[in-house]
Amino acid sequence: MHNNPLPKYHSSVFFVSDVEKSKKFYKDILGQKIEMDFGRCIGFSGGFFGKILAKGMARGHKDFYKNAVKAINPKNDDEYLEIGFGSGIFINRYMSHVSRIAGIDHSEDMVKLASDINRKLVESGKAEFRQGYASSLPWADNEFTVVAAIEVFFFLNETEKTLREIFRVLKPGGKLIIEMGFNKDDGVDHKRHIKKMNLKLYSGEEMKKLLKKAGFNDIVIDYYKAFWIPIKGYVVPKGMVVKGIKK
Amino acid sequence: MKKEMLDILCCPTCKGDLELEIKKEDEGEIIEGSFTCKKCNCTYSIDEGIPNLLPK
Repeated sequence: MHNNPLPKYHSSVFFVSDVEKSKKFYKDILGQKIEMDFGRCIGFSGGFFGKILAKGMARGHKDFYKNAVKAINPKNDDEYLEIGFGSGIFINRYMSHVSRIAGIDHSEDMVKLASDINRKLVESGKAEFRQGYASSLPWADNEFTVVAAIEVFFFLNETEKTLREIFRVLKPGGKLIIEMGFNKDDGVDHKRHIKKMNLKLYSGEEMKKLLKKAGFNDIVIDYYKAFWIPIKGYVVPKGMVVKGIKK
Repeated sequence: MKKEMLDILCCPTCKGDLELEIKKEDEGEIIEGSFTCKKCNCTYSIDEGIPNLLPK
């Protein structure tokens, strides 16, 4: 059974290269009210803290992406799977040169948007975006060289099952990259976020154990200085990138 | 954008306090206007009720 009661604003676009397209998507397709404009990104309605958080994430996804892509180090012959691709902009911006792209997201809206943003890749047959759940991946064993989950893992409920699934679809020698701007080591009090968004936060040590249990080797935990948002008293958190290899 | 947002927002460039200038208001919502940072003097416009808080 899939049990993923994700908050409304998670299935959303925080950071797109084409702001006008993003605004149009929100207004015309999702019928949401846009509250903030951070240039390349927008904030939208979804509860007060949702708004603040979404706005912060809009600015912050640039940092998330940069650190994720550094860890992924995409090569032309990589076969890439993204868990929770959202807008698909990460793929559009950083992954279009790899040999194969696949993605799974729980939101049909995001499948539509990511397919639109990456239209050329989809039309050429290089990319496929599917609606589904990370705990039950619709791909055969040993299909991918890289699997990434960017700003998504803390929303997942069936984490152990998901990691086993990722392990299964990875080729031997393939790597998993999990990027999390929110984590137990970041020095921020997340009580409100946890309650509001049903987040599950992990420390580096907890992630190591989880990956090890799923079968991964050479597990490395890295940290980076994450974004800050223009809100008084906001503490700049420490983002986490987890890397594991299927040997 | 509601006026109360000023209480929590700060300058995206230097974290300084912002000063609000309202040009057009409608039922408590600021439609047109701008923020100016008291510290670094950067200005950020509010258009169609949306503040543009891109760091400068």
